[in-house]
Amino acid sequence: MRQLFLLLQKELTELVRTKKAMVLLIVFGIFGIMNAALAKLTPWMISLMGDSLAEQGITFGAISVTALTAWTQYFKNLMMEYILILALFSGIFAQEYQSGTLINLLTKGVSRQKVALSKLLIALFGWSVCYWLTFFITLGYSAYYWENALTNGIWLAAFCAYIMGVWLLSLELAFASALQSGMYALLLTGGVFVLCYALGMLPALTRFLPPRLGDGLSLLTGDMESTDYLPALWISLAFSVVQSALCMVGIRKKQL
Amino acid sequence: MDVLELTGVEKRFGERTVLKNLSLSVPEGAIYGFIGENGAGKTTTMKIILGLLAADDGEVRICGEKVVYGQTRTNRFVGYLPDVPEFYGYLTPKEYLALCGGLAGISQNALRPRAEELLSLVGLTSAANRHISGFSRGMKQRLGIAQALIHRPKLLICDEPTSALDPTGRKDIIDILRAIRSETTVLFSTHILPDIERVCDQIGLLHDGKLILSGRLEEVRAMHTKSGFVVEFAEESETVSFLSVYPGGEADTTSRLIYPTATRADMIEAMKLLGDMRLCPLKIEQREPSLESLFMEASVE
Repeated sequence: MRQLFLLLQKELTELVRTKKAMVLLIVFGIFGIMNAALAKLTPWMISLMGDSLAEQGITFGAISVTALTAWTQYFKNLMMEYILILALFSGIFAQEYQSGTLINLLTKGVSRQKVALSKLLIALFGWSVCYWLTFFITLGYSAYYWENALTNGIWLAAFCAYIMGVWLLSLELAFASALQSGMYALLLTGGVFVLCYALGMLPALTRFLPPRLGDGLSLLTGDMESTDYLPALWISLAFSVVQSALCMVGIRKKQL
Repeated sequence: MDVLELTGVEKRFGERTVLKNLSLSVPEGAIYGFIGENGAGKTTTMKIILGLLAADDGEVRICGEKVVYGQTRTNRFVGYLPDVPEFYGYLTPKEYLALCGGLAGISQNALRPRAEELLSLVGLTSAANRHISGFSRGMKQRLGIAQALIHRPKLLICDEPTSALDPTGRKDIIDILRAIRSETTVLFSTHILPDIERVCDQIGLLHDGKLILSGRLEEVRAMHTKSGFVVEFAEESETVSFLSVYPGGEADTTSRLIYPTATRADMIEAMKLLGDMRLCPLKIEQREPSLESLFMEASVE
């Protein structure tokens, strides 16, 4: 237990001192602010362009902006958040493999699984902090500007999107622990996502595949029921567990 | 008792056999010089000892316990200094030693004095709170020794610790190794032979994946008595006339003759001749078999 604690402490120090934590917090903070700000500014921007658009025969009626507009923006930005977090943690194993920094620790008798577990936990911790930071900033601004900020179904929708991040991150780390390059891990994760997304086009499969979890907006607009998300949610959770286990197996077989 | 024992170790990378039936043993308290040219298999051997590589055949024992590939418990006996030790640049030496010591299971109370003791041993006390990212190669090498010794290992394995350093850096490392010899057994690989002569008492010569020479340094030297002698004259003419009477010498410079394969009896004969010829050399001396000559001789055989 002490070994795991020390490894977690080391990973956390790394995040802070290499400024990764700062970059993540700033960018995810900006995401949170932008979601509400863009919604709030939409009518103003449209009125700004209104005259020139009117000349082309496009006219607008009264534009009503609600908390739902901010949440729409929130779900549209999700893909950027996934890419950012995956890119930032893609090298978490590779940089140690390539530089040989793990050798000193492993020859002290640390188990490889603990090394992998510490990295997995710190990546999930990073994702959790960043994701919920964006969520609560969006929520805070929405509550300030509009009524009914807690749109029906928002908690489940947000949780599903969070779990999709957990699935993607554990998938990436499973690749990363077995590979020498972080870029390959990132690309393979992207590949698996695209594959799942493509398979999701088949109506029979769409309910079961993790990408369904990113579509929280349909729950807010009432196009889907909460039960429509459950199969994908359970499957993503199960995959995440399996992938985390694979991450710890990957490092065992790694020749350093 | 032997701290380290390798029996019949084989290692292949694809078609290439890197270690061929390698057996060696390192007795307790020794500083064992593990010599070999680049690519001889020194690093591979060390990685197998540490369980970082799997041997294809044979057995490695440390303090009597068998080494297994991957997660090996024998590493608690071992401190390892890689050839180019790498650290987390964002940590300070103090923090790094605290991490390593903690991972090796040293109690919190014992850790701080041990880290301070080691930092002073390797001369890094003044840099103890600086980030490692700004360290020179020599400083990293010294910190590498400190981290390897943090848990008082029975066996310290150093992979070419002096190869990348300037003469001062090399001397520092050799001095540190000398200072710790009472505490731990050292296995020290290198291709810099003078370093071995300065610090090691046992040597093993690895060539082409096999140990072709091993034992106590003096014994190995004594086994190779055909070390010859050197005569040095003041004048070139003396050199020429002596060589014509006593052939077999190689002119090293115009005034220096080396008889590389001559025995003691040959040398006495030469001295007699010098007297008969009334030649007075500047010096005549037995050649101490240098490691270099042993190395060359053994590699050729």
